[in-house]
Amino acid sequence: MSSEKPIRALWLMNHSTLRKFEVPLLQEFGVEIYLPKVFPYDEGNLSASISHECDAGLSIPRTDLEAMDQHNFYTGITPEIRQIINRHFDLAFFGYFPEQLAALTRNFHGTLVMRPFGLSNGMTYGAVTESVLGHSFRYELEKLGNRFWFGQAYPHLADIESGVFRKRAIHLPLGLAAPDSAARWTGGDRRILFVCPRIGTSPYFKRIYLEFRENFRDFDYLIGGAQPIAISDSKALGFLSRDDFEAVMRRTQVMFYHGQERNHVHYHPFEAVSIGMPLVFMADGMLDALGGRHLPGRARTIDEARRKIARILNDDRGFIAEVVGAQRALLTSMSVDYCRPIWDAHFRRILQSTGDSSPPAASSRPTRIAVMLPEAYRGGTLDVAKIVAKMLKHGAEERADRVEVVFAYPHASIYSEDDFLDLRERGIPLRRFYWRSLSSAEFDSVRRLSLSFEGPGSEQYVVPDDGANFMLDCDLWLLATDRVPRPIAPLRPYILYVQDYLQRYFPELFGPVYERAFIEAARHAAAVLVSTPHAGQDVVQYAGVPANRVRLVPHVVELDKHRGPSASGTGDGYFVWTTNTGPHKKHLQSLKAFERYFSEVGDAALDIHVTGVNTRLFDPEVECAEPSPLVREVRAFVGERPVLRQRLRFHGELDDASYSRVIGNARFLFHNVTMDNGTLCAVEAAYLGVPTLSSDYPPMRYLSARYRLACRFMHQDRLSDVVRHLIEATRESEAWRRELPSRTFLDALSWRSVSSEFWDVIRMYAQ
Amino acid sequence: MKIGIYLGYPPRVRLTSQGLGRYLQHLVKGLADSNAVSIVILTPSWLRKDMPEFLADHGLPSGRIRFVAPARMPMAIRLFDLIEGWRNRPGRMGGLIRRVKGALRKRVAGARSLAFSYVSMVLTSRSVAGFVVRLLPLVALAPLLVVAAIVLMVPLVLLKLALSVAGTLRSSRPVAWLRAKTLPFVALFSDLIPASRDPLISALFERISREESKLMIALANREQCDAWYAPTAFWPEVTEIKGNLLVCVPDLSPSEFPVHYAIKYPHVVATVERIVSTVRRGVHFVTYGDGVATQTLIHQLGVPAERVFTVPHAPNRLDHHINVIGTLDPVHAKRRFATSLIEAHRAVCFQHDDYRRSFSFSDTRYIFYPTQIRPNKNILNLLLAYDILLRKKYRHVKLFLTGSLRDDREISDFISARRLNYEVLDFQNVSDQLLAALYHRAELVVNSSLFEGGFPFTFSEGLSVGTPSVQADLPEVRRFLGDELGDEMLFDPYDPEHIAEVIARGLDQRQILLDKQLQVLDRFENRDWATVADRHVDIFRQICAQANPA
Repeated sequence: MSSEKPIRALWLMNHSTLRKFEVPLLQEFGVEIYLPKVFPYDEGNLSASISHECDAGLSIPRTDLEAMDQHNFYTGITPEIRQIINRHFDLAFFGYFPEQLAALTRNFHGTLVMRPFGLSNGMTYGAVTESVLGHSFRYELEKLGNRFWFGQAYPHLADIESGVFRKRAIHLPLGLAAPDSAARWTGGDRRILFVCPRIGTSPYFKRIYLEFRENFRDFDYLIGGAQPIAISDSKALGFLSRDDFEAVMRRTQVMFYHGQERNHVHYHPFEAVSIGMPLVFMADGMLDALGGRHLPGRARTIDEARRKIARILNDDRGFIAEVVGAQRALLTSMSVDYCRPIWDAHFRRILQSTGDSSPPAASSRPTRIAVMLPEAYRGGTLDVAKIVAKMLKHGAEERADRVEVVFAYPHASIYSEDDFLDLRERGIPLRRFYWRSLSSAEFDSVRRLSLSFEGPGSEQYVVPDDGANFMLDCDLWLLATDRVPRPIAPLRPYILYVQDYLQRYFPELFGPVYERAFIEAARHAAAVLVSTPHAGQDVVQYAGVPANRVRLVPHVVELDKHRGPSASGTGDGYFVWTTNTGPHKKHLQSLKAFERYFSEVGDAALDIHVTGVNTRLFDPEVECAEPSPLVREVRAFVGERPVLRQRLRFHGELDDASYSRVIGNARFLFHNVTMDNGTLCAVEAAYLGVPTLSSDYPPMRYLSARYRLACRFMHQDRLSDVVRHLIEATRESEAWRRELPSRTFLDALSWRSVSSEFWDVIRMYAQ
Repeated sequence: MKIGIYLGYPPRVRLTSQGLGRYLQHLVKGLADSNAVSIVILTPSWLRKDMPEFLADHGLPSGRIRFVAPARMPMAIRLFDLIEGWRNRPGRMGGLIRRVKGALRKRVAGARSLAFSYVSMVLTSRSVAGFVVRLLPLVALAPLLVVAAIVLMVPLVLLKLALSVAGTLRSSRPVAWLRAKTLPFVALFSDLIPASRDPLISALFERISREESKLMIALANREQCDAWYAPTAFWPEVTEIKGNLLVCVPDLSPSEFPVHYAIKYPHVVATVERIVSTVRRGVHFVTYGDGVATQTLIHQLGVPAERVFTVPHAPNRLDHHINVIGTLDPVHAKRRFATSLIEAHRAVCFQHDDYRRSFSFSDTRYIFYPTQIRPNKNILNLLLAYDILLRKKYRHVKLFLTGSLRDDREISDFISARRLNYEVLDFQNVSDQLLAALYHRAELVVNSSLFEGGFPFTFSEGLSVGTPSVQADLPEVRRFLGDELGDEMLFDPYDPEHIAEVIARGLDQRQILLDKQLQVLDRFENRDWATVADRHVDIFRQICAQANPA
C-alpha cells in the first residue's frame, strides 16, 4: 500500500442501520469509503437502502465513481470494474453473499473483510460456501492468505467454523448508533409489536408467524416488517419508513422477540431497547449472551412470556420500569464506547496485514495451470486441447501475467512424441496421467490430511495420477472435455471445457445409460467453457449449471499447418466427405444420397474422398478383423454397390501435409452429422479455398457466421434435400468458392489472435 | 334466498386448491359476497373442522355462511385420526426411537472402546506375570460373557427372521396381485387425493360414507333451503334431498375415451356409473361448457335441454402469489422469488434424484403443462412433439408437468426409450404459490388436452403471471376464441409435428403472442367469479320458479 495514497475501502453493504454505525467509525480511522448504489431488488432486501453520503469524500476520478455506481457488486465483477477497484481500493468490507465472495476473491487484489452476522442453528459459513460455490472454492480462499479476514460481528461465530474462516477470524463487533431522534417510548397502544417480515415468501418466517399467532391468539397485536407478498392479516403493517416504524415502536406497549438462535439476532430488539420500549424475549437465544440472562423481560416459556406481556399490557408501571431499566444492559456491547476500542485494535491488525508485503507461500511462484485431456482422443478434440494450452501461455504472456502451463494427457498407445512437438517448442511441459479412483474412506483421509476444508460426505471420486503428486502442484485444472469416469475430487478448482452433449440429441449414443459423472463434472466446475452458444445452452439446460458460470470463449482452429499455397483451380474431380466411425455421422443416409447422386448426375458426378480417423475401415477391400456393427453395415452397403465401390476412396486419418493436399484439391467438403460442436474441418477447408456443404444444426450455423464460411445447409432428415444439394454443389462449386473469406480474415480469428481474449476469461480463476 | 351446498367427500380426502377444490373456493366466495343469498354448507362429520378452514383461505365473509354436519364422527374415523395424529406428532415416537438408537450407539461405542483399552493393556504387558494377572478378569468373566452374548443374540435373530417373513409375505404374489388390482382405487377426475389406497380401508370408507350420507340427507331436509347445489355429480345420494336441486357436471371424460380408461383405469366404470345415476335421478344440471351440456347431458344421457344450464367459469389469477410489492424492480424480484420457490421445492422433494437434486433451475427454460396424467391429456403426443422440438428444431427447453409420470407405464417407457428422463420433469403436490412460480418461469404454457369440459384454466392462469399459452384446437376453445389467434396458438393435438411447430413458433414469437393473448384475457376478465355466482343465483331462482309457479 502506498503511503501517499489514502486508505480506501469498498463497504459493499446496503443495510441502513449497520451503515449508520460502521461507516462513521471507519471514517474516524481516516478511511475513504465507497458505498454501493445498486443492490438486488428482490423480496429479501426490501429494507435495504442506498446512500451517497461518502461520495464527496472519495478522492477517485468521477468517471470511475460513476462506473462503480452503475455496477451491481452483489452479482459479479466486470473487467472494467476489476480495473477500477484494483486501481483505487485497498480493502473490501462485504456481507455474506456467496457470489459476491467468489467475485471479490477472484478479482480484487486488496484485503477482503467478510462480515458474518451469524447463521441459523446448525449451519456454518463453511458448509454454505461449499454447497453454493463448490468444495474446491476453499482452495481459492486459502490462497488469499493474509488478504482474507473473517470479520465476525460476534466473537464466538468462528468457534463452529473450520479452515480459513476459523484461522482468519477477527472480531469487529456489531454496533448500534444512537437514535436520530431523542423521542422516547410512551406506550399507550395496548398491543404487542411483533416484527416478522416476509411471511408470504419465507417458510421460516411463516412458521414463526403462525407460532406467534397461535401462542398469542387471545392478545391484540401488530405485525411489523415488510411483507413483499400481500398477506390476509389486517394486523400486518407491511413496509414502513424508518420514521413511521420508530413512531409505531414509541406508541406500542411492548415488543416481543421470539429469536432463540445462538448465532444470530435481529436489530429490532435493540432498536426497541434504545428508545426505552419494554422488550419481552425468549431465553436461550443470543440475547442471553449479550447480557440478557438475568433480565426481567426474559421468558423461559411461552406461558411466562404471556404472563409478562399481560402485565405490561395492563400497564403495570412497576414492572414496566423494572423491565425498561434493566434491559439497557443489552446495549452495552453494541455501544460506540464498547465497540470503538475493539474496532480500533482489530482494524489496525487488518491494515498491518494489508501492508504486509510477504505473500502467502502458495503464491510465491507463478500460478500453474494444468490443461488436461481427460480421455484418450485424437483428431479435433486433441487439437482443441493443445490449442487451449497454447492460448493460455500466449495470452498470459501478452498480458504480462506470470503463469506456467503444463499439458497432461492420458497414458495411451495412440500417442507418439510427434503429437506434442508443437507444445514442447512453446515451452509447455508434458505429463501423462490416469484417473485413479478414491474410495470414500480414502477421500475422507485426504480431506482430513488437507486440513483446509470440510468437504463432502461419502462420495467416490477420481484424482488425476501423474505419478508424482496427483497434479496438486497446479493451482487450477482445465479439463479439455467432460469425459471423466467419476466426479473429480474437489482438491483443486477446475474449469471444464465442454464440447457438446451429443447424447441429448442422439439418444442412441448412450442408450439407457445416464452419464452422471459428466453432468456432475460440469456442476462442480468453477466455470464451464463453451465455444458455441448452442453448447452454452446445453450446459445450462441439460447439465443444470447456472448461466453465470458458463463462459463463451472464442472458437479457434489451428490453421498454421495449412499455410501452404491454397488451391487455385477448380479442384480435381472429387469432393471430400469428412467423417469418422461415430454413430451420429449419418453414414447410411449419406451413402444412400451418394448412390442417388451418381445415378442422377451420371458422368458429371464427382468422386468422393473419405477422410477422418478410422475411415479406412469403411473400405470393403481393407482387412478389418472385428468391425463394429456400424462399420460392418457401412462396408456391406458399399460392398453391395459397384458405383460406390468404384467412386469412393477411403483415406483414413491423414498427416497434415496430405490432409491439406486432399482437402485443398477438392471441389467442396461434405459434412453430415446429427449434432456436434461444429466441425473444424470446415474452417480448415475454407482456409484452403474449399467451401462446405453441411447438415443443418446450430453449431455449424454459428461457425459459418463467425468465419463467414458461406456453408450451404442440407435438411437433417430429407434424403432428397441432401441429393439436391450435392447436385447443386457440383454444378456451382466454382462460383461458390468465390464467396469464401480471405486468409487474412481467417488469420485474424486464429488462436494467436484471440489468445489474450481467452486468457482474460481464465485469469480470474488463476489469481 | 337460502342455498344449500352439498359436499359428500369420503373420509381421509385431502382438500386441495386445484381443479374442483379451487372452483368451489371461488364459487362459494362469489355467492357469499352476493347479498342475494345466505348459504348453508353441508359436509360429512369428518370435514366439520377442515372445510371452513379450506374455504377461509379465500377470505370468506363470515356470518353469511353456516356449516352443518352430522354431530358425531364414526368411531373408525376417530381411530384413524388418533393413529395419524400420534404418528405425525413431532418428537414423540420418532424422537424416542432416535434417542434409543443414539443411546445404544453410544453404549456400543463405549463397550468397544473399553474392550480395546483392556486388550491393549493385556498385550502391552512386559512380563509373563503381568500378562497373566491382567488376563485373569477375562478368564473369570468368560462364562458370563458367553451367556450374555446368547441372551442378546437370540431375540435379535428371531426379530430378523420375523422381519424377513413379513417382507416375503408383503411381496408375495397373491398380496401383490391384490394390491395391483386395487391400488388405482382413486377418484380419478375429482382432483382429490385420497389419503388411503388400501382396498380394505377404501371399502370401509365407502360403507361409512353411505351411512353418513343418510344422516346428511336428513339434515338437509331439515334445513328448508330454497335450492341445493352439488359441485360434482359423484354423489347420487344428493338427489334424495327433497326440494330443488342443481348438480354441476364438470365433464364425463371417461366416456369420451372409453378404451383408454377401460384398459388403464377400469375402476372408473363405477365412478362414471355413479355420475350417470346422479344424472338420471337428478333434475337440473349446470356445466362449464356447451360441449358437455349438449353432447353429454342432452344427447348422450337424454336430459331435456330446458333442465341444462351452462355457466362458463371465470379466469383464474395466480399473480397475487408471487407479485413482490415494495421493491424498486418488481419484475426482477418476481422472477427471483419464483426461482427461489422452485429451488426450495428441489431442496425438499428432489433429494433422492441424482439428476435433479443439484440441478440449478435459476436459468432453466421450459414449457409447462400443469396437469394430472389422464387419458384425455394426450401426454404421449405431447412427448412426441417435444422430442421433435428438442432434437429436430433445436429449441433449448425442457418440459415440466405436474402429474406423476411414473404412474403411467406407457408414458414412462416412452420417456426412457427416447432418453428423455433428463428433459421431461414432473413436479408433484405443488402448492398454489409454487404453481404460480412454475407458470411464471415457463416460456410457454402448453395444453395438449383432447377434451375439456370448458375453456382450459391454464390459459388465464399462465397469462396472469405473464406466460402465454399454446393449446389444442378444441371446440370449447374455438367457441371462445373464434378465429382470432387460432393459427398462432392452436394446434392439432393428434399431429405431433404440428404441435412441435406451434410450440416452436410460440417460443420464437413469445412476446407477440403474449401481447395478443393479454388482449383476449381482458375480454375474459369481464367475467369474474361474482358474475359466475350471480349467474348461479339466477339459475336457482329459475328452478325455484319452475317448481313453484306463481
